[in-house]
Amino acid sequence: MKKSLPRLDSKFIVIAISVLLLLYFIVFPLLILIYDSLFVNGVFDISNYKEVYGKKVNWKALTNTVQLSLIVMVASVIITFPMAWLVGRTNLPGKKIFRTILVASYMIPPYVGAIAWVQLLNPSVGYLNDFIKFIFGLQKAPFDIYTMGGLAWVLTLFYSPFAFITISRAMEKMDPTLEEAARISGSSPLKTLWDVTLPLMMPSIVAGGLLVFIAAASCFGIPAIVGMPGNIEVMTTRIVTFVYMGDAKGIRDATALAVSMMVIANGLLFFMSWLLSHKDYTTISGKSTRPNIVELGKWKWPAFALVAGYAFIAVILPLTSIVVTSFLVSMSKGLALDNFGIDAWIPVITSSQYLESIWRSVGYGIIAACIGTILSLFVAYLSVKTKITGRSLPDLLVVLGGATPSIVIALALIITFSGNYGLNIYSTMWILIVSYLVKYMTMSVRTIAASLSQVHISLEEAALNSGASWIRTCKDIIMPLVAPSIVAGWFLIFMPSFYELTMSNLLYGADTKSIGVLLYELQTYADTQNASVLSVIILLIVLIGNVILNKVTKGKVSI
Amino acid sequence: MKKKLMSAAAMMAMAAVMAAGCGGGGDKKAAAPAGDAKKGPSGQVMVYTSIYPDIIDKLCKPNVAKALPDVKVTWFQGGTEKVKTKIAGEIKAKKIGADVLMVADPSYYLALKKQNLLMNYKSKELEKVVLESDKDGAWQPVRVNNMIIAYNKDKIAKEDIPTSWADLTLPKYKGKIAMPNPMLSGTAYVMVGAIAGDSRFGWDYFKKLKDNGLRIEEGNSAIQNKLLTGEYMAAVILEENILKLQETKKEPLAVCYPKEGCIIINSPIGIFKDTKNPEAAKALVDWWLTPDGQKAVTAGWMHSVRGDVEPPHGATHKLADLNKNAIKIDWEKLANDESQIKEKFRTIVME
Repeated sequence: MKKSLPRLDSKFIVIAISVLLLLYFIVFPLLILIYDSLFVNGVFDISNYKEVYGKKVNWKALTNTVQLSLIVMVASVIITFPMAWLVGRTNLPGKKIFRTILVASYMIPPYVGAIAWVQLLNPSVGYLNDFIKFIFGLQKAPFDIYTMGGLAWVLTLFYSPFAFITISRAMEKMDPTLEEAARISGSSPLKTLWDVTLPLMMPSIVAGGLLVFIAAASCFGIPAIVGMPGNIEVMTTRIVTFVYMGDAKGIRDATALAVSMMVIANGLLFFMSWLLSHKDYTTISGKSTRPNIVELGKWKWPAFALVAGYAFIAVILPLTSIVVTSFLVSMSKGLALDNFGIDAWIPVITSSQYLESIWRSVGYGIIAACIGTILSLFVAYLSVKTKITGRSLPDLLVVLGGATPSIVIALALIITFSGNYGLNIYSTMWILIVSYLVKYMTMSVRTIAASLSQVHISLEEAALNSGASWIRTCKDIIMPLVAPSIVAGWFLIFMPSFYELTMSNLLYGADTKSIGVLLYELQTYADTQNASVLSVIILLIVLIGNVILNKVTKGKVSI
Repeated sequence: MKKKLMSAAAMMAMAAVMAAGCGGGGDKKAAAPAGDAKKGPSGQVMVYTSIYPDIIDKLCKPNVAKALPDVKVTWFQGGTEKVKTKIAGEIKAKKIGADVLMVADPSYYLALKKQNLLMNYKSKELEKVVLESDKDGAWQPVRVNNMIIAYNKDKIAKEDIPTSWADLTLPKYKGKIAMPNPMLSGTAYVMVGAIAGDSRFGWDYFKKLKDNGLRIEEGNSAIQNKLLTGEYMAAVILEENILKLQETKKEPLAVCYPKEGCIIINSPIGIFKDTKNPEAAKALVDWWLTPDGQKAVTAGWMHSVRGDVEPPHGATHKLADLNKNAIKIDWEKLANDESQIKEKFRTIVME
């Protein structure tokens, strides 16, 4: 009987189920929270909105957030587009190593990285400031990290990998025929890049930029560490301030404030999709698939110096600072030979709870990343490749989750999934995994959608016309074509879930303590040094995992 | 073929739904069996606490297991504000997960008592406790956090060592003083409320600090780090943070007990009314107030609430002496005017 069903049905069912899951796990909790912010005991009451938006400081925080996120977004794209091109499409020396280094900064938990930058660039005793003062004989420190500029700098360094991953993945899969045509017609490589590659890459650039914007706007750790000493308030610090009042009113105020962040992020997504909707960006047409490699010629070594310089400043420098910090005996004594030792490492590696937490978090991250990637694929497909009415709605819903500050999501999940509305997953690992999905799925949806929008419909139609089912088409045609972005999407969920801290801190139960929670404990209660040790361990695990992945798949799959 | 794929799709969706659903039975905490009444307390108890995790692992877990062998205690550890937020969510969901609450900020207990969420209980150990407890027994003090001024012995000249709160307004400290953000840290909030409410200082004191370049940090760890690196000359912080670094890592940090008095925060312990296992919860509160439980407190570098337990290692002053000229704190005011006090601080210092 089932054989007589039209072919579209499997597609419809799969997508419908994905959408239902999204509605239940992302939208429903947030709606409950928003409803609670609008109604008190069933009576419509928006005094909290009036109060929150009647305060100058909250507006200032809002403009700060928008301003910062825009700067960070633009800066990230400007920095990462050329990097992605050089690493992905040219004969740049050492490009494989650079690719790993350039994404390494998103493997460092941002709060640990922020501490490293504060140590390097604080105006009174920053190592880098002291060094520059010494070299140039300056009287005053050249940089002050506790400013908007300093905040933008640190945010850019930590969130630009989102743009880099998205852009470089798409770049590797693009159809080179147009570029070849330009080159044959006598265009220089640089001109080809500007006139052909850049416009064709627009969907990925926009997607990457949006990811950076959302990440920067909803980040709490970095503004708290870098912005607070300079009296710079952003939305997340305001929201956390309200939440920490620790009562019902605090939560209502926080939600009222968080709503504007959801609106801004979705507005931006809408605007950008509208911008892109006027053009066709399909670049993978099925005719030729291997992008050609551009010979840099005499520019080879200058380009190398440029990328190496950036990699040094953005990644090696803070990483070194973290590694060195982990090996200092006394933080008070600074860099002296007799001050190095493994004192800070001993409590970390001898305690079983650290290892347990690490493996636990690896597990949660993998589960979240697998479920998230599958859902993302369907959501992205629905939004980019179908003509169903309301096709981009799930996409918007996913962004809603991503744009909501973590602490607000955590609260919504506690209220919704502790049994009052049927499902009770409070204090289990599932509430953690759901929270990671709500927060980070937008990362992989954006990446996969951007990549899907470049796959021409003709390939899919060919498969369907040859009698393949939609699922088969997905498996054999679409997935392989967007495979790099699927891998990228997987890691974009896995990594932040792995060391997530804000939500885990509220949602973990006695047996589900994750590595982020431990890191937070170390950072607040013990000391930064132990946190540095743990970061180094995390980084080692990820790097080793990457090497193994690279070896097993013969270089096809890596971060 | 198609059938197969269809069912594959259905399986996948099922798996996703099941994956989400199968955790449903996880919340089993409240299952307290009736047990043998004569054998003493048994069953499960959930504690939400902000006491340090290493203390829980090294002292609380083994010692409680010895003292209350039939009780399975589960510890949820997090900073005071995180615990408050978690409970706020749980109150909204009408499902408080904790039986026993042990966080730093005393004014929070006043707020909870007002909402009628705490159970009244007066432990027999209270006669040895030298600090005040709630007259109805809604909470009792269990440990003492002490807000002080800290400095780095290696990075400060002898004549620059601070001796009083007033010193921090001197020009020599300009731009090199800090305190934790009272919006994010409960103990910092108490410090602000206490100083602002003291007629010797008032809000004027914070205006002067602001003019002297006071920096606001996210929390105590940022402050201790920056004292170590020499970024700050002096900073407001908890005594326990400094003692710990001093004693365990031999860092050159030192405590200044300000002349005008310290800010003594008698952090309470309380039992939620909703507890399914009041017997065990009460027994656990008792344990905390015994010398055995109080040793866990002093091992966490905090002062004991009992008169007969030694102060933490490295503390140069006893609680009884510190208490004599401690700054008077109006806890009622702190509980009632929390948002006003925080907002006032924010407009004076953080704008």
